[in-house]
This record gives sequence, structure tokens and C-alpha cells, in this order.
Amino acid sequence: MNGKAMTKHDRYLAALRCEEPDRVPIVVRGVNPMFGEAGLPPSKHPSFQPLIDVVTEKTEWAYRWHPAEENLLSAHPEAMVTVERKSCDQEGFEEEVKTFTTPLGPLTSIEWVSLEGKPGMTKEYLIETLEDVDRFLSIPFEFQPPDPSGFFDLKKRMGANGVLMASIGLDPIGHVTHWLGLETLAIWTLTEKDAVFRLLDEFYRRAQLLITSLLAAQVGPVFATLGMEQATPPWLSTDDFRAYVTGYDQRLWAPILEEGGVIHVHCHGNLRDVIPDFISMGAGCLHPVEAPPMGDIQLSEAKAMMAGRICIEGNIQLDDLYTKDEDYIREVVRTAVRDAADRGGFVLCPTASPIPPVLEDKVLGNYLALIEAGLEYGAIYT
Amino acid sequence: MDLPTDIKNAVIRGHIDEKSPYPPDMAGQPGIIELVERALQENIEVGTILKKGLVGGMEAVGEKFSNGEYFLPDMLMSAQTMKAGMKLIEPLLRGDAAQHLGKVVIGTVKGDMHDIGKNLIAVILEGGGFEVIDLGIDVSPEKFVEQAQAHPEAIIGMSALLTTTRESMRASVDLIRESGLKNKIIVGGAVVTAAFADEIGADGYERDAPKAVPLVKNLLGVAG
Repeated sequence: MNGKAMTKHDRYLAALRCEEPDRVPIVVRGVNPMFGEAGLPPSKHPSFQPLIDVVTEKTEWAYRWHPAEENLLSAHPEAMVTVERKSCDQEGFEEEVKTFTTPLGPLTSIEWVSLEGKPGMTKEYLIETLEDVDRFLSIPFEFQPPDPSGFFDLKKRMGANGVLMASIGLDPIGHVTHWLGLETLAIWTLTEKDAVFRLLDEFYRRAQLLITSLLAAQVGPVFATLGMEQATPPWLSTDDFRAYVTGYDQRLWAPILEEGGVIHVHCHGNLRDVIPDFISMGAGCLHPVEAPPMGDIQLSEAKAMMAGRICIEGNIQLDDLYTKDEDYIREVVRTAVRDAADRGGFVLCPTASPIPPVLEDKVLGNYLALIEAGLEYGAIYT
Repeated sequence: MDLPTDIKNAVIRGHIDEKSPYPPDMAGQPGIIELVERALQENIEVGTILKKGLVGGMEAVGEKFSNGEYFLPDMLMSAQTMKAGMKLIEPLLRGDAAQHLGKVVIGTVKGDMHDIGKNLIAVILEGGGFEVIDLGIDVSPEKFVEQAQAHPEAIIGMSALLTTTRESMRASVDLIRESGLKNKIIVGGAVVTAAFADEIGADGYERDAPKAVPLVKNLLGVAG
């Protein structure tokens, strides 16, 4: 233990910078007062209040400020998108039809959107043919710099309770997959790679503009991103991961790193073969670093590969929080802290945010056990 | 090489027809379409084309995926190739159910909108010689029961990606059992484990998609 107790902010930031905090920070992903205040599910439901109370008092908060339109679309006045909501034959869902006006003809996507905040589904992707790629890229693009005041307002609200991250959203491959779908991306990886690269180049350019404007506004120092999990093995090979992710994200993140910033990466899946790439890209923190069956690497091995270079944020399986008992949760927390907390660079955290809108008593008990055990073992091991 | 072996190789490499530029080293060579057409002209038995060529090819692809040699793109390209070949022989299979190794009714359980894994399994099972009835996503327990009643010989396959929708899987299995139906049930998906499959009373589980074919063969007692 270091002499003076750190603030929650300093503790979490120290871990993200691979330094050794005074105890292991605990982040209950998706749950803290800021989610509820923003009206975001699930923590706005009253059943979450007992957990929010404990999170508020005892754990570090993580929250993301989202500065840009999720999909980095154009602010150009001629870049028209119309959105139409219709009923559909899927109970509890509505069909959302987005139509993009382009100089080369309209582009349409259809999504099923849950009326209860559940995950939705894309029925028709915006880009399905090479002609669609041309149409998409013909849309005149104009970047709208975000208003950074939202970040500073939230930062004030966060205070010393944790770390506010500036979300740079999906990385280029995440954007491409969003509009193309994983199946088309997979086939085009074999047959139409040039089209994939044309789209990647465009989203790289747009993300670069966003990052440049955020740095100019002195937003930071922690930036959050995601999306590259669409390209991890076994979906794509490590060679394709390097071409689609490493080659772009490394260049994209460089200005942030030059300013002393930290990149927080959310990436599920099999990471073992691409951890060296994340190191070379300059990732500062990887969440959730999953063991089999959801991932392919144990925490101890991940720690050996990443120690001092990338902070591990994880890896208590959300599934366990919903299905196991409190003793089990205490044990997996003890093991996680034992395997990953040595010399800092570890944040105890579930692998995902809670999904159901209501928190059942059993699950609440498990979350509280995670926090209690994290405080207990996290103090011993640092 | 003989034609069924050529067909098998075309599936493994994902070469659809002579005009297909993929894979580059096979551009201009006969693809699955030309090879299956030629095999039919030469009166090679449809069953041989199916089992030795198309099914054999997809089995090899499954092995390559399992051992990390193939990835999703290779798997999907081979599946598309196999489907192109199936389309040519399907009219000859109709009315001859014996040509199919069995029937699988498959769907993603209620509350779950994920379909990539389920679609992949459907394609692999078709490639493995099974007739597949795909119920789509967000399938209610009642719908599974209805289909199990309509196809008493079929295996029922359920997929779930979300922790929360595993309970829908349990409810579907329960309702099929409570309805007195004897269909074998297989389950899978990212959040499903062998222990969970046992717990809810499923008859089979595999983690890797390509292993669905041997799993179903075992449950149906077919050698394939």
C-alpha cells in the first residue's frame, strides 16, 4: 500500500497508465449515477438503486462522453438522411428505414429497433454491392467539429469519482462493418478487398478529423474506442486484422499518444494472437480480456504479455454475475486480482454492462460480492 | 482426379464457376457449377456428388476452421460454393428424402436477435447433407413446439448469444419436453456451455460450428 489514499480518479487513471495505485480500482461497467442521470438503460431502473448507491460510495466510475454522431456521418447540407419508423411483424420492435440521398442514387438500410431498449438487428445493410460503395462515398462529406463543452460539464460532474473518457467511437473497421455487415465483410475480404480499403480509408479520414478537433479542444486525456472485435480471429485471420485494424488504428491513435493520452479499447473475442498488435498500436487499456469459452486467454497469460504496457480491465464474466452464487463470484475476483494486479495496470470490472432492464436480487447480491471481494483482495495484493 | 474429388476441392477452395476470380489461382478453371453439371452429364449418382463431393468438401472446411487454418471468410465462401452446387442437384433430390441424412429445425431463441452463428450452422448442416428448416430469430417456445410437432423426426437446434436469452432456451426445451415431444434438441451459441446444455436437458451441444455435423449424425445414428 502507498502512504496516502488516492482519489478514485487518481487511482483509476494510475491503473490505466499501467502504474501502481493504492488498491485495485473497481469499475462496475454500465452502472453509476451518471448513467441514470443521462436516462440511459439499464441503470435508470429503480432496481439498480441499491447497486448504484454502493458504486457511488465505494468504486471508481467510468463514463464516456460521445462527441460525434455515432457513425461519423456528414454534416454537409446535401447529405440528406431520412428516417422512417414503421410497425413490423416482430413483437416489441419497430422497423427503422434509413434512406441516404446520394449523387449516385439512394441508399437504404432497415433495422429492427427494440421498443424496450433491447439489442436490435439490421435486416438490410446500407452497403451490399460495389455500386453501393460508390454511392456511399459520393455523399459530400463535411466535418462538424463537436462542441467540447459537454465534455467539460460532465468532467465537472464526475469530479474525483472516476475517469471521464472522450469516446472516439468505432474505429475504421467498426464503421465499415456497421454499414456492411460481418458476412459481406467476410466475403469481400476474399473477393473485393479494394472496396473494403476504400471504405476504411474514408472512415480513417473522418475519425482523424474528429481526433484532431478533440485534441485541439484539450479534451482528454483518456479516449475510448471499440469496433475492432469484428476483425479478431476466428472471424478474420491475424493478417487481415493487421491490414484492417493495426494499419489504421496505429496511425489514428498516434496524435493522442503524442499528447500523453491513453486509449481505452473495448474488444471482445480471441485476443491472444493480436495482443502484440494492440501493444504496437499503443493501446493503453484493454477490456475485457476474456478467458475461454468467450475468449482465448487466461488473465495470467495476458498479464505476462501486457504487463507494464497495457492495462487490463476485466474480466469477471457477466454471465457469472447472472448465474453463479456469491461465493463463486468472490473466488473469481480473488483469482483475477491474484493473476493480474501485481505491479498495477489492472482494473477489476465485469466483461459487459448489465443487459436486462431490471436487476434481480440474486444478481444484485453477486454485484455486491464482486465489489466487496474487490475491495478486500485488491487491497491485499497491491 | 475424379469428378467428385474435384467437386470436393472446389468446395474447399470456394471456387464457384469458371468466371469467378476467386481463388485467383483457380480463375478460368471449372468451378463447382461446371463440375457438378459435368458429373450429372456423366451419370455420376447424385448421392455420390452430394456425399463425396459437397458434403466431403464442407467436412474438410470444418476441420480447417477448427484447427485455425480457415477463418470466417473461407468458411462462408465455401458455404456459398456448396450452395451453388446444391442448387443444381436439389431438383433431383426432391421426393427422395433418403438423399438427405436427416432434418434439422433451427432458430435463435426468443428475445435474441443474433443470427450470424445460427446462419453459419444452417449452412454447415445443409453442406453436411441435412435438410434445414430455418425459423429465423426471436423464436418463441411455442413456435419451436409447433415445428417439433410438424416434424417429429427432426432435430431441434436452438441458438443464443445473450446471457439473458439463455432462459428462453431453457423455456423452449421445457415446453418441448412438457408437450411430450421426443425430438432430440441441440443447443449452442456464445453463452451456452456443455454444463448449461446438460442442466436444461438438451441432447447435444458443441462449441464450434463445424462440429454440428458430427453431433447431429451421432444423435440421428447415421454414418453419413
